[in-house]
Amino acid sequence: MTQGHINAAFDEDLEALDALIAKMGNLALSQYIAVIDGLSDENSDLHSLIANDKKIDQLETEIYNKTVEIIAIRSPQANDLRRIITAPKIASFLERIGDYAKNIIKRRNMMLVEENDLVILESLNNISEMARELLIDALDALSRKDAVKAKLVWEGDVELDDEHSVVYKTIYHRMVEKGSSPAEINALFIAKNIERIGDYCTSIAEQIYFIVHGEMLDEQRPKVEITP
Amino acid sequence: MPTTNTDQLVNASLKLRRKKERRFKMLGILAIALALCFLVTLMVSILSKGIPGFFQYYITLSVDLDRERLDPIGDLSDQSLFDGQANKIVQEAIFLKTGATSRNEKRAVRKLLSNGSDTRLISFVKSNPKLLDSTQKLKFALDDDADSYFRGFVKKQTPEKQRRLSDLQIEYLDTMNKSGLISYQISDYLFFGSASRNAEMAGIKGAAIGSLLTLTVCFLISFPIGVATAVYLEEFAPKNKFTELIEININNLAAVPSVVFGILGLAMFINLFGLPRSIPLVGGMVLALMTLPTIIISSRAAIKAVPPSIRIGALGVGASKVQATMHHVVPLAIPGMLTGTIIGMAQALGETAPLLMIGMVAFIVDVPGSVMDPGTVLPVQIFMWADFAERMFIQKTSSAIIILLLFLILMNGGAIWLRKKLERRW
Amino acid sequence: MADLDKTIVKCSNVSVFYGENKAINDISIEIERQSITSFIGPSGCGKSTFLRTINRMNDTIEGCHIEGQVMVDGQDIYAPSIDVVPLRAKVGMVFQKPNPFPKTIYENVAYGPRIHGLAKNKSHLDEIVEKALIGAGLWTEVRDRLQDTGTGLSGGQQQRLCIARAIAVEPQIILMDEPCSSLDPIATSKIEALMSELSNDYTIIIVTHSMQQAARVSQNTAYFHLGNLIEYGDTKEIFVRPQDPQTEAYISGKIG
Repeated sequence: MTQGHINAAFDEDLEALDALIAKMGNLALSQYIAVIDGLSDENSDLHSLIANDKKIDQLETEIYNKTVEIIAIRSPQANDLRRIITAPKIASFLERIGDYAKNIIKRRNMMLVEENDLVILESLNNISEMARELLIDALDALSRKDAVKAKLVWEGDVELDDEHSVVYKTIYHRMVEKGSSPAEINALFIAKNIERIGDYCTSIAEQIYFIVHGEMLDEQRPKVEITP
Repeated sequence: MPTTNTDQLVNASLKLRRKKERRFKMLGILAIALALCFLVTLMVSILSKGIPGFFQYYITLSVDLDRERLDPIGDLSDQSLFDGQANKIVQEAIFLKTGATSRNEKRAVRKLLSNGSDTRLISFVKSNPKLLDSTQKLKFALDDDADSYFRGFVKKQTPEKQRRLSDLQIEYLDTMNKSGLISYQISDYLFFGSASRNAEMAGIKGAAIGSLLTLTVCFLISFPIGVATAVYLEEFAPKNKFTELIEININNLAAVPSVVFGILGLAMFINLFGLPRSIPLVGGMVLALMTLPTIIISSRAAIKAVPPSIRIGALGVGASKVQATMHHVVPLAIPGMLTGTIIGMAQALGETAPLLMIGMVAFIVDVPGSVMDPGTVLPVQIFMWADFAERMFIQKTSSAIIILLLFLILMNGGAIWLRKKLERRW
Repeated sequence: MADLDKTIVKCSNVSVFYGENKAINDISIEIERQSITSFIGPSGCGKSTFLRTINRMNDTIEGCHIEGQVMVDGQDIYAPSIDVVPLRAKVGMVFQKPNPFPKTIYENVAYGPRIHGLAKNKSHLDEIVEKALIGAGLWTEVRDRLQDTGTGLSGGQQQRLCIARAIAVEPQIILMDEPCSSLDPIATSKIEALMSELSNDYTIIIVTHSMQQAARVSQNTAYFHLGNLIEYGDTKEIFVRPQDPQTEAYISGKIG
């Protein structure tokens, strides 16, 4: 970041906003990590997850209010304006990520019935790890307003989509072989949620790019179609 | 190229406008040229008459400074010198030079020298007592008739009976001139001599000192009163009908003919208060009355020119009205006040009528020593000299006018310089 | 009772007349201690007139009289026994166009303390001047040229000099009447930053025709229109959710 504003209070407001977003991001990340770490573990703690989710929602409201306040009071321009206008959007993406984390754990709880469900869960390891990497990178780019890294995240979603196809095909073939059961269906949902989390990381990356360069990442995002 | 309708109209009227402007410009230039002509004529006239007045003709004589004859008592006191034979010694010197022996001749020659020659010798002796008992070459002024001859006013062509100088006198003058005894140099009488009926001895010293004293009195009275009045009226007086009336009256007083103030001074200071006539004190008081309206008006303008933001700034910091006025407004207005005062003084310097009314027209020989001694002022002196017939007086009148003008120029110039120097940006 | 401490200026039913003309109509307002309060409103709405009632500068205007009560720090300042001179030391003022005295920088700041007798001796006066110039954020720029004339400074510096002049007499309240309207944006920002610092020690009331400025600097905002107080409250509330439709209209630029 370049030099601060003559009026230090303006800098304080911007820092406060950044702090809220960072807090929200960390919460979302820790939600996600807790969820995928607990995928193989039966005894994960739902209560703290739900509590954190509430906090994430509250933070979104706070960020929203703070944005309105800063626009009314400070009349931001240029880079400041872009930073502030993207804040509520980024907050809503983070909120959605938190939501998906919650959904994943619900789906997992519905899954744990039979032993070979664990095998299915294993197959989700790869994609969940990839998504974790992507989310960490996205949050890192966000905190440093790093457009280069953001672009990498934006492009990296391709691999996640690829992996989603692979998982989809694997589970699909299993269903064809052994017949469908709730386990496989829930696994599909989980995979989809993880893939959606990846999409939101991309969206965050687009916002970061906009903050720095003032333009949306224009080129067609590489998208992989799932074909059985 | 005119492109729109408006352009066409403007261009059409342009020719007429330019013509009118040219005509107006020509008129202006003509007026200025005319004024310049008048000015040049005036200057040439004054200078041509006045410059010669700064010079006089002197004769160089060898004088025997016989101590016993000059200073009989021996103590160089005024009494002794007065009793001495200074007059005779000078006359002997010129008799020697011209070779005049008979009574007629001696009478003729005696008239060629200025009457003040003995005084000249006495003052020389007083300042150079060591040179007593030696022979010195001294310069003495010629009588104004002899002086006029050399200036060309007394002509040989006129018949003797109509001339002021006889043929014999002219012969002597020519002889002395040929011997190189006559010199033409700056007159020391003009500046250092006082009023005198003898044109060659007449000078402005008395009048100048009188003017100085009168103006000093005028300044000391009018400046403080005028400035204080202006400050009070502008800053402190309530704005009502009464103060409006005062303002109108002051403005009108500035336009009153100055002789009226002279009458007022006569009635009040001399008749009512019983002050003596013709003294610089009364003259100064009369001039003060005359100058007060000018000073008040220009001081008020100077105070008005101080922007209100200065006053408000001072009040905002907690200054009282008096403090704000005295610490901030007045110091900023002083340049304008001084300028106005100097111009008022310059006007007062040139005033004659009111001072005539209070009697400063008397013929005063002595230089006034204080404000209570009778005196006269420069313009009055000029006025009196203008009355006398001698040619030299005519020239000296013009010279005195030049001196007066120089003073006025100096004072006005000083006012302008002061204003420029003290001009402040707010 | 806690309110008494928090409130430093309390105006009750104040009306101001210029001759027959009623310029301020029955206004009651309480100004919070050590805060920045801004008065906003369209031209001619009376905000400057109202500001001047707090240090009785309206007294200098012919034909101006006031009804109602103005309490400053618990004192009725229009009581007959009140002397305006110490009042104006307690309630300082900074004007729209910077008006430093045409004297030296030192003299500008020293004048107030000197006439109020605040300095025991010359070195004490030097200290007061230095402290005031530091407080106004001007010391580093002028410390080596205190004997230069105040009018030789730039516009922003002159205004800070006027602020130094005001705080040299240790006021409790500083009134600012559109202090930045003749300054460029950078000078304006510097003064706004200065205001935030000053509000730690003084109560500041600022009249401004720039809503953005009011939003940036003040904690409380009062909106005036045609001599009436339309709305008064927390600045953030006023600019994000004004209660009165007139306020909303003015702030959104829907009325002039």
